[in-house]
Parts: sequence; C-alpha cells; structure tokens
Amino acid sequence: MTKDNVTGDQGRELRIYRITFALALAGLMLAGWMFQTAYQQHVDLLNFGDRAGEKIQMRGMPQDDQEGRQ
Amino acid sequence: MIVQTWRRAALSAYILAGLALAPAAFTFATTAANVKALGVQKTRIDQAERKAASAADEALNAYSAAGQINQVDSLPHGPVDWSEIAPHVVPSVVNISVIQRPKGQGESNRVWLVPGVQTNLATSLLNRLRAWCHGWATDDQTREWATIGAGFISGDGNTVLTAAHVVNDAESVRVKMPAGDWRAARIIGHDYAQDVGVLLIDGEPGRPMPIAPAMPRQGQAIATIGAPAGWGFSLSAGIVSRYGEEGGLLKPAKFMQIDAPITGGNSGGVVFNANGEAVSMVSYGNQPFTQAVPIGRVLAVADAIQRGRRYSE
Repeated sequence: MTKDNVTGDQGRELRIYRITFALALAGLMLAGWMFQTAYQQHVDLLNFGDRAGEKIQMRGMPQDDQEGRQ
Repeated sequence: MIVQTWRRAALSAYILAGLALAPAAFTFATTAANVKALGVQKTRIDQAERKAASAADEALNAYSAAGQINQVDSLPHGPVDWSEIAPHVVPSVVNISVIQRPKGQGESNRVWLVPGVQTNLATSLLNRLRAWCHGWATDDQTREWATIGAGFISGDGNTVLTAAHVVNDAESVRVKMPAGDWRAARIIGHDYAQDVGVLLIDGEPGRPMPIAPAMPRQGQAIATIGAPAGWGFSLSAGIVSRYGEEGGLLKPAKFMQIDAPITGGNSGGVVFNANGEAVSMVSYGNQPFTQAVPIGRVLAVADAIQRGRRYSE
C-alpha cells in the first residue's frame, strides 16, 4: 500500500535502505553472537584455566611468555 | 516520509553494527586465542603427567616400594597404642585457618599463570561481567575464617610447617595452638611444587615436633593429626603402604604413601611413627591412600624457603 505512494527513484532508495538495514541488523546479530560466545569461552577459561594454572604451579613447570599476566 | 524513516533506521543500524562489530570481533578473537593457548598447555600438562607416571612405574619395584632404598627404621615394633603416643605429639600440632584471597575481578584466578593466556581490555570487561553476574563482590564481603589444614611446630618453636596448598590462596592466616588459643601467623614462603609452606607465629614458642632418625618400613604403623573437614586435632592411624615416585599432581618426587583415613583439612598434618616422631607430612590423596612428603624433604624445603632460596634435589 505504502509503495504506491512513492516514485520510482524513491522505490530504489527505499530498497537500498532496507537492504542496508537488514545487513546492519545481521551485523548486530553477529556481534551479539560473538559477545555471547566470547563470554561463554571466558567462563570456561576461568574455570578450567584455574585448575590448569594450579597444576602448573604444583608441578613447578616453567611459566614462559606470560603475556599480559595480571 | 517513509523513505526518511527507513533512511534513519538504516543509518542507525549501520552505525550501531559498525560500533558493535569491532569490539565484538576483538573480544571473540581474544577469548578464542586464550582457549587455544589453554588447550595447548593442557595437552602439555597431560603429556608431562603421562611421562612422569610412566617413568615412576618403570622405576618401581617391590623393594623400592618397601622403602629399602631409604634408610629405614629396622627396629621391630609391637602393637601400637596410639592413646599412649598421641598426647606426646599433640603439643606440637596446630590447626590452620585462613581467609581466602578475594575474587575481586578475577585477579587471583590461576588461569593467568598459563603461558599464552593474554589479558587485555576485553578480558578485563568479561571478568567484570562475570563478577557482576556471579556476585563475586558479595562473596568477597562475606569471607570468613575457615580451618582448611593442619601443621606442626618446628625449629625454634615459632615456625610452623604445613602444606603449601593450604596457604597458597590465603590472604590471612592464623593458627590454633594445642591449648586452643589462636595465634596470628605470617607466611614466610611456600614451594608449591614441593607442597611445603613455612609460617611464623607470634607469641610464646610452642614445642617443636621431634624428627624420626629413620623412615618406617612398609607396613609399619603411622598416625596423623589434622583437621579433617575442619574438625581440629583429629587423630587417624594406618600403615605405610609404600614408597614411590609420584608423578601425579605434583612435581615428580619420592613420596611415602599411607592408608590412614584422611580428607580435606588433614593437609599439612604431621605423620608420625610409633615413637611419636615426625616421618612425613600429609600432602594430597586419592582415597583411601594419601601421599605424604618425607620429613627429610619437608625440612630441606623449609630450610631453603627460610634462606630465600629455591629448593632443588
């Protein structure tokens, strides 16, 4: 119905905006998925990594290249 | 009008996506790299454990398990009445109570010790998110003293020896003396690889634990006093099950394996013979057996810690 009120140029413009919007929405969803996955990975890292770090301490294994150690 | 609305919506979504995708990709890449680094290190640890277990298995025979490679106590022992012996040992044993380090924003997590695991703005923000979701701040505010281990008095009477893993995560340590009084304690140092920690207590010196001149033979009676599940000054008895090199959790080293009933809270407790003399210290177990650090190594590691050196065999 609304399409009937726009001219041919406006119709093309509208199509571009809609495609841009859809792509941007997909990008946002991708960003959301990446944040969610990163959080889950980080939680696993904290849980399993704590045990691994403890084993490294207990075994006295060399802790080389501790990039960004807190 | 409709075109303008779609233009605004498209522009807004485009800007938002642009703003979100870059940090999301950065965060995702960071955690993916960290997971990969952890995987590599876990493989390395597994391989080292298998290698150590295999080497220990190869080196073992019935005679070494019986302790014949050590200088062993060859005196015959009759039936042991622990009710006669324990009162002589009790004045030298203590319970150890700690307040754990705060979780904060995940700084005390040992994952940061794993080589290759990186920290940056993304991990910092994820830590904060995790702390907020799991109420770490509340946990930190409600920390209380918990008795999680035992120890024994050594040297000058103000030195307490315990297992390193008892005090490794401690922010504050206090010691319950045999008379029931709490003493503030300071961690002089600990060697996690050898599982030996050294504390210094305030106040009047306690009675140092006598040290056995020789190790008990396989099958001879031993006992230990600790705080299983926090139940302080609890006595449990058993025998020496074997001697052997253990390549499990700790750095491969020779251990005395005992079968006395032991659980969490016994760690760091002194293992003593039928003469009431220290022969080893409780380290860790795989129920119903427990690995104890031979007393000679406990004293050598403690000496190295007190001298500010690193123990090496």
